[in-house]
Amino acid sequence: MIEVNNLHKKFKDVTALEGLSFSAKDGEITGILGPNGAGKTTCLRTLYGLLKADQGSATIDGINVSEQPLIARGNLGIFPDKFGLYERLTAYEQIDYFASIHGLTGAKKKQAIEEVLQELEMEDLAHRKTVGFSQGQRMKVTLAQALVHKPKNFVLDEPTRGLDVMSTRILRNYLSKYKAKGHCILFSSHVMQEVAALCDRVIVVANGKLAAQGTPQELCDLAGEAQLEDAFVKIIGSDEGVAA
Amino acid sequence: MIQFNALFSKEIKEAIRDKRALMAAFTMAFLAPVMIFVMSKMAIKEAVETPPAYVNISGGEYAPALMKHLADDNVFPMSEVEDADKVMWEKRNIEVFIPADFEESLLAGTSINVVLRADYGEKAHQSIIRRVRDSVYSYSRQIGYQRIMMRGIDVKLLRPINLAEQDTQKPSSNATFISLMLSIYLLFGAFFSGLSVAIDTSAGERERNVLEILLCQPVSTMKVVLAKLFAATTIALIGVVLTLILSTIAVGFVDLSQLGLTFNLDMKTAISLLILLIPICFFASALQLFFAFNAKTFKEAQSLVSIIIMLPGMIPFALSMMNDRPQWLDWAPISGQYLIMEDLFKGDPVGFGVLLVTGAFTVLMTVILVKVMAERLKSEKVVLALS
Amino acid sequence: MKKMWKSLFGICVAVGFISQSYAEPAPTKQQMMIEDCHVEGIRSQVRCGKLTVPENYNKPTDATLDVNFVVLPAHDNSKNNTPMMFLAGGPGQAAAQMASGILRMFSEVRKTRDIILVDQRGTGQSNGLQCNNFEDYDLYEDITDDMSSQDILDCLADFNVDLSHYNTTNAIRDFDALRDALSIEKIALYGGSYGTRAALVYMNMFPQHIESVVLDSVGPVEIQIGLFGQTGARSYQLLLENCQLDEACHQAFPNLDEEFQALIERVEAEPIRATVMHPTLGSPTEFVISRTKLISTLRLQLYFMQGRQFVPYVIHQAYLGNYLPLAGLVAQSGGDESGQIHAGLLFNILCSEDYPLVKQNQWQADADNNFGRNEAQKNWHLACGVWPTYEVEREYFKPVTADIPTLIMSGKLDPVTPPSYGDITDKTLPNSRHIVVKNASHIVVSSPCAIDLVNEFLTNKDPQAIDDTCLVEIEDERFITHVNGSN
Repeated sequence: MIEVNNLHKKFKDVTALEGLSFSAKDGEITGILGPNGAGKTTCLRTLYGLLKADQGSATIDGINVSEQPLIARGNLGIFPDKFGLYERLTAYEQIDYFASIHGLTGAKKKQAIEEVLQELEMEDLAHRKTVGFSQGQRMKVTLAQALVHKPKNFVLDEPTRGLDVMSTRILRNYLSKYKAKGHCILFSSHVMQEVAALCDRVIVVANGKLAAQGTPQELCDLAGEAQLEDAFVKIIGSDEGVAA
Repeated sequence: MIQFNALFSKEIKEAIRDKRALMAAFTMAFLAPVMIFVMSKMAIKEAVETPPAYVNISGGEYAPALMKHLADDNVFPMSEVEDADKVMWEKRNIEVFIPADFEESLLAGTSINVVLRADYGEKAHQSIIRRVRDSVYSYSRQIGYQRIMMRGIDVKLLRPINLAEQDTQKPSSNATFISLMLSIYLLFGAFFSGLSVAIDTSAGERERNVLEILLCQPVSTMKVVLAKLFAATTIALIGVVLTLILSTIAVGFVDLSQLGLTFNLDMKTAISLLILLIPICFFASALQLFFAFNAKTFKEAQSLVSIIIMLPGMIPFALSMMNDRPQWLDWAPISGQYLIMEDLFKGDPVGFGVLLVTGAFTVLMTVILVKVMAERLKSEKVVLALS
Repeated sequence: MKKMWKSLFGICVAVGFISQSYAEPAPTKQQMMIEDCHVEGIRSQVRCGKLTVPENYNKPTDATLDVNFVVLPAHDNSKNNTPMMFLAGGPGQAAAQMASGILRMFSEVRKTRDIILVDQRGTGQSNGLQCNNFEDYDLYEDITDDMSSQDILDCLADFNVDLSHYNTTNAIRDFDALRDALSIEKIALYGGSYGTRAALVYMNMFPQHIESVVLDSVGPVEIQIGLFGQTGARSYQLLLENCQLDEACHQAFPNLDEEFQALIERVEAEPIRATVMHPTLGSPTEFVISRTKLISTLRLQLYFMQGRQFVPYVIHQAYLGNYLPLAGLVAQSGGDESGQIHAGLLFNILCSEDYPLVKQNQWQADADNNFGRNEAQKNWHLACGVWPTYEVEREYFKPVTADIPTLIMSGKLDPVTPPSYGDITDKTLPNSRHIVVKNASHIVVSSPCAIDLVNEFLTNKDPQAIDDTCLVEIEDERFITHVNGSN
């Protein structure tokens, strides 16, 4: 469960967040939609505890991120915006590294790694150095390192950027699987089809504020458009947004 | 601790697997012995040999005794030069003019004007010019003494004051120039060996987009910084130890006995050196991490840090230029260690206390750097610089 | 006066000196103390020490004396090389006092070896036995011819030690005790002049403690020290010959020997009294030249090459009535304290160990020469006539046969220890080599070639393997032919 409450954030003269609030529930995939500069990344970074909100709060499973960042992060799996790999490590070592950071040790750690490898069907990749991995393979490694500690909450920042169709499909399947297991999944994107196909709920962010939220269908209805993309354009196009 | 171990072992793994960077890191370890070997050879040659010098002497036939005196000092007329060296000596063109009335003036007791003409600014000429000058002066002085004595005058009158110089330096003079060279190389090695690791693990990771995800993990920035610091320091230490070992071996191949010197590193000195250098390795790596983290790009980090590695070269140089150095330099990182190493190699007693104080001071500086870095990694400025 | 002793006696003398060294002392032996110090003429610090030894080794609990020593530490502090002990000449020279001169000559050796300089008991700071009453003697106005046995007795009266223990064998015991105190298992020895005699006795007494020996200008145990008449004349003869061979010298002084003999006749008739400007003070002074002063001054020049070059010119000028050059030589001999002979020890040792063994006819034969006549022996008779003697441990003065690598060196022109002496010692030693340096006089290591040979020998310890090619390049003797110098 991720909750964002009345977040405000200013960088010098630029207002990035201006009272953003939303929540992402367990067992759902929540999408954040928003144009570039709408404050998506700032919001997520605040959620990671990297940035401190000027006002408002973010909680993960009820833990305030700015107050107890390390504990909050323990319940979080992150698939970052620009993901890089330690190319001199093997996939296994890399996953192991993150598992250890999350405090796993010994047999428990080993088991966790085996499980995540299995889940992601990447056993054959495990002991290769990640240098030269395809984009899809890199995505898997990143996914594995984010999920090895079995976080309740999972945040993905533009996960499908740069992925080919096959990889995107694979990712979607995983997300669905995780949802089914009751995880809370929050992911930002600007690919409408993806959001439409995957998300249970969509949060539209514009100018640092919540512009609208609801199921994709609700948003379409709200804007009176058949396509989510059109609905999105219409929603962010309005000055004050549309209350849901 | 689990986290730290994971962080540290990952950093080490990465460092060790980066073969090229590792090779570069240990260049100093391999280069230093070579340099020491070559420079020692040259120093020995200069100190031990008075190689024959060939000088364009005109009028040598007028002063056979002077010519013989010069020959005793290994200075010969150009006519005796071997063909192989002829061009070189002719190019140097150091000239001595002896007047035709040499003998006449000598017997008459009037001053004889002998001319020494050469390019005094040319470094290669200087030792030859000095030798020719010394030789002529000593010949001249010898004749002067004879003249005085044969006139029934006590030659001691020519030396009214006998200045007895007393040097309080410890008699155990080791191969000092080698030690000093080694000291600088060791300091340099401390900075140089960890350099690539320090940049790679900071600016490099940021550039490869792996730093952000690390900062999002449930681990304190202090641990992150410490792990990176220890990794870079480990490599730096290996470099330093390697430098020490290989240099000691290399010095073994130099025949220092020609200079009446030996260079041997006993266990006590080696251990003292390590105690001395461990803090400096930490300090060097911390300094490099600090600047690399602060740099905006990998390139900028590289250029900033390469300025830092000049410190161990510049500080000893500056120290040697200073006649009255302020006391705090005895404790400051790099200068403190350098001064202690000087004493250590000279055989002067080095107190455990001094070692401790200098080390503690360096460690303190390192701790401050680490603290600042850990704080900075939490700051929004760094986070914003990530994207 | 002391300078006079230098010129009158001996094997002692003159120019360079040398030394040896050992390894850093472990000041464990309680009777030894050692510390960093400065000694005259050496800028860097060296080590100075004292070793307390019994005056009489048969009664070690009785009186003691402190033996003074100096160690010139090797540059190379690895202690890889055996230290070398320098045994000084005389007898009566104090090695520690000569440290700077020794260092100058032995700088190559010292790079890798400690050099140990011991003031032999009765010299320097080891209870130096100096005849202080000899000192108020004016170099120019006074002559020694009228010295009497009373002067000797006055000197003796000053000593309050048991002179019978100030002998060669006890000196060697001191040296070996020091070797032991410095924790040196085997030591290298360099002996010059009387120091060779000491080294030979050392070889007889403690062969097991000696690694190698250099004997420079040998005084063999088979030959008594003190017979300098014939050897001096031989050296003078070689000077005459070399002057004849040198074109400039031959031209300038075609009748050199005739002039010298005429000069001797002149001073024998009556000491010459010339008024000269005092060489040091510049005031008019009477320069009295007796036969003794003339011969002893010239004889002293024969000991070293820089002195020899003046001899023809000085003789010639004196013959012509110009005594200033001779005064210049006298002035020069009256300087430098470092190599001074402690006359008390000189007489003490020679009057017991050598003088009694010389037969009357030997003295007569020795005086029958064309140079120094009986001048060198006159003072032996004077001193040894009244000096108390002691019983000598003769067993240690037998020909030496110890199997120790030994390098023997002689200067061809030597006026006191000619090369034939080196041959005598060479004959009895099983592992030795005798090298004669052609243009050298007393104390051969003052020449750069010779010191190289010594250094090589100390390192390789094989006298036969020494490469002596540098000897070939040594030039002929040259002489001063003009007051303003020679070209």
